[in-house]
Amino acid sequence: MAEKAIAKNKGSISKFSWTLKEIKNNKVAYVMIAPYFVIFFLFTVLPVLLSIFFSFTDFDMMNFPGDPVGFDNYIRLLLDDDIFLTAIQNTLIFAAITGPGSYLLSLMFAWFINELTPRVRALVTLVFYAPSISGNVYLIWTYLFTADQHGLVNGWLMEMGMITTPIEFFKNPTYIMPIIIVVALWTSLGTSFLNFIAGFQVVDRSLYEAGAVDGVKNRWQELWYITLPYMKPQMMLSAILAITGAFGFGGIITGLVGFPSPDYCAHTIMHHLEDYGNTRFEMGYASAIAVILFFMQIGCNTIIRKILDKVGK
Amino acid sequence: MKKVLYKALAIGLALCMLLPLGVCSVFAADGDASGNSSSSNMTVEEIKELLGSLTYQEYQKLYADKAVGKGKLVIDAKNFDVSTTTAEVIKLENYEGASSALLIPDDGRVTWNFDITSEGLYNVEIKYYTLEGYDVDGDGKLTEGVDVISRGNSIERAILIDGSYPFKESRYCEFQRVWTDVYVQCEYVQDKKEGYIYQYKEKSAKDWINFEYDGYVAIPLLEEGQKATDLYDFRAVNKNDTTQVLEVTVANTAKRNGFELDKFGNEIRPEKVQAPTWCVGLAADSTGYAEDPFAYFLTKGAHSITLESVQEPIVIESVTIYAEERLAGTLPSYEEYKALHSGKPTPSADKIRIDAEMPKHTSAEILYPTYDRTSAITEPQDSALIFLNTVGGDKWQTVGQWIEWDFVVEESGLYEIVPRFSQDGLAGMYVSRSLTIDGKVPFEEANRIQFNYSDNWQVKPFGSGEEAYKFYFEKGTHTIRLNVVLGQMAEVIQEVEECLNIINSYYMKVLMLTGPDPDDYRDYEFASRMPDVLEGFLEASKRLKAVSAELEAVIGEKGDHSVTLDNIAQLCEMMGEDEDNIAPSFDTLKSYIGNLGTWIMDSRNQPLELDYIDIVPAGGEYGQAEANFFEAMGYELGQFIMSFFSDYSGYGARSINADAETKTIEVWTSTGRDQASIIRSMISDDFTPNSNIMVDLKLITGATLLPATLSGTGPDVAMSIGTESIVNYAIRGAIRPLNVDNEEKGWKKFDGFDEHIKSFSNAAMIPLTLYGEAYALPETQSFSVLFYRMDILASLGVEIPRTWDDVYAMLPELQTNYLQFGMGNSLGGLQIFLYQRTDANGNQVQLYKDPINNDPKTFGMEINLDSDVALDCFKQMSEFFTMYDFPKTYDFANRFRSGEMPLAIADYTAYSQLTIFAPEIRGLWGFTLIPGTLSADGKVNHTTNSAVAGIMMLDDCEEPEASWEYMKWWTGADAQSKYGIEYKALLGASGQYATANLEALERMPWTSSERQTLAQCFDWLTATPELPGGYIIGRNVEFAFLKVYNDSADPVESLLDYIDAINSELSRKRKEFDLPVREDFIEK
Repeated sequence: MAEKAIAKNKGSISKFSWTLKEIKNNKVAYVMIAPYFVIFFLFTVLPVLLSIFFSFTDFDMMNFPGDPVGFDNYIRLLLDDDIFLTAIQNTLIFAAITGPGSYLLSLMFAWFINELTPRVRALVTLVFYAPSISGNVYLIWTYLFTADQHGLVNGWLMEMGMITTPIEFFKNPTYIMPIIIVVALWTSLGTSFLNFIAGFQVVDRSLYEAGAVDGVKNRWQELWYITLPYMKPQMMLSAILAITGAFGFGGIITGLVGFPSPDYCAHTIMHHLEDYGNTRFEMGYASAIAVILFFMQIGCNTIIRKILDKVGK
Repeated sequence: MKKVLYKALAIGLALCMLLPLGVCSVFAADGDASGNSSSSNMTVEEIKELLGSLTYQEYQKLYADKAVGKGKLVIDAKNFDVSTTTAEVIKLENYEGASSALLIPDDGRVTWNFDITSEGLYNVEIKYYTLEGYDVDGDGKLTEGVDVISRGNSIERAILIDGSYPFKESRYCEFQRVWTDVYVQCEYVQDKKEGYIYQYKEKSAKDWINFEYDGYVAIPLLEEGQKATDLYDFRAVNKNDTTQVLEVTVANTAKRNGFELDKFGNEIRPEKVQAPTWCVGLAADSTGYAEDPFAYFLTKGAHSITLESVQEPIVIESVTIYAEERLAGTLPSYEEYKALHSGKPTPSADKIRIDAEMPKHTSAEILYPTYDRTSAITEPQDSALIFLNTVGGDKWQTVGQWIEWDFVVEESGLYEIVPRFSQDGLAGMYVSRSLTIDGKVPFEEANRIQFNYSDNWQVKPFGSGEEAYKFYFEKGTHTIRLNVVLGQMAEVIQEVEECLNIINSYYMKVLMLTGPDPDDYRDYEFASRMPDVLEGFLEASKRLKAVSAELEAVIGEKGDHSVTLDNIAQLCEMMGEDEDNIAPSFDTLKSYIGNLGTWIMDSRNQPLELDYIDIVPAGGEYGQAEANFFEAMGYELGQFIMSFFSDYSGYGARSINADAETKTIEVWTSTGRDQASIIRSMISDDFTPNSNIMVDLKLITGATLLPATLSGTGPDVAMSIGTESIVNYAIRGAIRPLNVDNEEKGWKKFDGFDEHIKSFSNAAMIPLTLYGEAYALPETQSFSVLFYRMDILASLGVEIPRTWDDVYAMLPELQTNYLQFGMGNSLGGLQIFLYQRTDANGNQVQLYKDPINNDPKTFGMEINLDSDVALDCFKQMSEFFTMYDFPKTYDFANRFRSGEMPLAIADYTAYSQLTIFAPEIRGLWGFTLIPGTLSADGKVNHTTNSAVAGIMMLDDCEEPEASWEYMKWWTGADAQSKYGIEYKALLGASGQYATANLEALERMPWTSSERQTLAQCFDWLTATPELPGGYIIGRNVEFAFLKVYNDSADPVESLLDYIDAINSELSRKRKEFDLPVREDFIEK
């Protein structure tokens, strides 16, 4: 019916006035969405636009908005900043290991936990989710790996006679990356994990029966052909969370190894951003970094979307 | 790696053989009563003497059977022994009513000789004058360096008999000062016709200062001798024709006389001033453990008594040696006192109410009137306005502090003394005060009057618990004084402290055998190696149990106070009974020792808050203790409603002149809540009333300042900002420079800038100044000192190191005993060594290369770390960590308290942490200058880097003059020292404030030897200039150090690798601000 009406009117009025009319007709919906839109625009869209704007200036936090410098920031960033290249390298390594790693881990754990009885499931979920609720829980690792000779790992190693002086786990480039990746995986069972659990719950049980009738032979096929396609929205959300999490994984590194990390060995783009924004007050340059990070994430999301389309096919 | 292992093994084996042979003799570690002696010149011998000297308790036991001395010997102060006196004394004639007296400055010794005719125990009494200063050169003003000036601290003297300290406590005898509040006798008077408001107030307790306006003066309408108490007691009359009266009305009536009101009607805390007067003081224990004055044993024959200055000058008229009534046993008990006055009548007069907040005198500046807003019936009380209605609280808790009140008795007879008080500080315990009436203790029991714990206000008479004491007062004016004493707790605390010392010394003994982490499964054979340890633990356990039982009997119930004691007693018993328990319980013992130390600290505080004291005719009716339900509800409801209308930001603002608009400035601070509330009350009490500038003080988190400044909603003044932020703001033009004249921008150098910065050390302004423009005033300045454990050094026989060569020399001794030396690494460590070096011209080596062509703007272009001297220093620092195995990561406070790290270079503010965190080692540690570098001319250079935080004025400040006044006030000596004292009173021993103001430091509550050490440190201070790009240095030096530390890289090469990175970042950052860069000069 509606399609017919549109087709009929298309010729008589312009597209603009048609839009206006539609808005008028559905004004309640627009009013409903307005609060969210205003907040979203003010606190998400506007900052992104602003930082694109600032990335072409030399804004220094005090003298608003700074002088225009064209593409200077980008040129310097990509051609004359060795540390930024280290940061990109580190970020990609983190993203490559912890992004998919935590995603797959979340999926596997969620799948296993889904097999448990509801009560046990609730309990186990809490156990797994706990590290990400309690914000700075990763600091437990500093306690484990502290360089104090009375620290847990160092004390134990010295008692065993394996070392004579304590190892500076968080100040020695040899140990920093492995420890951080382990910590990253450990803390990553967060929202995406809950998401998966929710996803597994909403799968229509009757589909499994139908699947069995249609010739699903084992649990793997059940997972691949029924469960996963059914929970694609959850998978999409989890993937985005995992990848943005992996890219923005800076705070925990700072918390563990301090800022900056020795010889920039664990320097990520987030750190570079903080370095220029907070320490050096070069907001223009920092904005350029942020813009690059932003486009990297958009690129990654597109790739993920493409990959997820393949699920179940 | 293998080699190192073998080496460690060999050393370890050698140690195992050596250790039991006796390096571990530990001295009986007695708690040093008056804090930590920290003279940097102390040698091991002196430390040993100090640690090993008798305590008063031991001294008393030694002479317990001696008779009480006879006779009274008054030594005139002017007859001192010239030959042995080292102090620069001044003989005074006809001084303040005394025919002759002797002024003794705050340094040196004075000795008097005397003969004793009868052997026995004697007290020492001194008649002294609490002078504020003495004009030596007679120019009418007190000049620092020439005249004798008091700093307002308590007067401390050490007493020596025959040239030596008879016991340890005799090193610190306190003689209290006298303070009084300055009350206002009259409030504001308004001229009806013109609307002007005039102020008339009495500044000193003695004389009127008549106001004079347009030929009119105010005259009191009272007869001579009468006290003017109300505004209506005055009249403004024409000076020449007193019949011509100016019509005036009362603009702002005081609810009651005495306290000045602000323009809203709140009472303003009165100024506290010294009331210099002649006092009589007996040499007594300043810690309060010994209740009675010191009894010195003197044989028949010639003796000498010496007063050694610890701090503050003093004027002495005479020294009296006699047995005072407590020693002589002539003080009556209450029963005897009662019998003596049994026939006296019970007066029929009304009760006399003394407002506790209006004392006659107090012993300390901090005993000022306070306000209680919790109880509806505290007198006076208001739901909206602040009335000063109480005195004391946690400010009146230290032994020796007293408050004195005057009252007039109309009818002779027997009275009870009934205070309304609140004691909610010591849960489940009681606090004590001693009572003197007209300077005399009426009977023995008055020496320890107890105030029990309760959440509420209480009204209870002074009494034994069962019976209220009845005091006989003659008609006339009387003075009562309440003095903080430990009372019955003294013996308890002293006993516990002794147990703590025993346990502590055995703990150290075990530590030296087993190291900090004993092996649970190894048999150390404690029983055969150190049987005294096992016995000692058992003995300590027995004694602690006895104390706990005694405490329970006194208080009548078991509480958390006795649990602490029981726990450690049980543990000690366990360890003493079976040697196998020692190693596994070692860690628990460590934490229990800490608990015990905290217990002692807490129990020593005796807080008490007073509302009023009633002098009630015996058997009369007492006041009401707490508000009833309706009163309380009405009051609280009123408070709630009024909270919507009250403006607390202007509290304290006086409306002196209605024409002048009061200015308001906004000040942001990012310190803690407690600190902010002290600043707030100081503004209200001191700044606003005197400057008439209202201050809106806001407590914010540090990160808020930047966005607020950016959006133009920032404050006028921001406090406690680090130097890096200050320079970051400054170079981007967000701060108003303080010493720049710039007409274009309307800037003017502020009045008194040059004068004001003289009150800081030169180093303090270095990081706050950028190319000659000062951007902030320093508030705090902290720096490193060397902390040392006296007991451990004494047991090793090692001196406190003065130079780095001393450090090298002592390291083998330390390390063979598993002991460590702690210090910073990377840039912080490098700066220790770098700043102690001098260049060819004798100037201190800088972190940056010298300016080129004497252009100051070229300073900071290039780093100086590639110079030979810097590379040498870096190597020296690195080798401590690589060759000498200094720990890189450690918890200073923990290792210092456990004794593992008896020497460490740490920020001097760690002092506070140690005092509160490790009370069990009180008196066993001290701090001094950091080790120095021997320079070419043979002098030791102790230069230390310092860190500064400052107060700055934002560029868009609307009231620059008012803001400057505030900044000047806050960083001035008065405000800083007041803040330091308040801070310490609020936070207890942990609150030592690291002020940058040199004069304020002198008045800070440090012991004088600590203060001397700090003053010495200030002579050696320097600071790193804060320049654009400075952030890059610290991180790259750390990278270089980590390479050396982790990968054993060569220090010199490793540091050189990073020079380029530093220099290019400096250039890049300098270009941003159009400053000359290194490359400009290379090309030329």
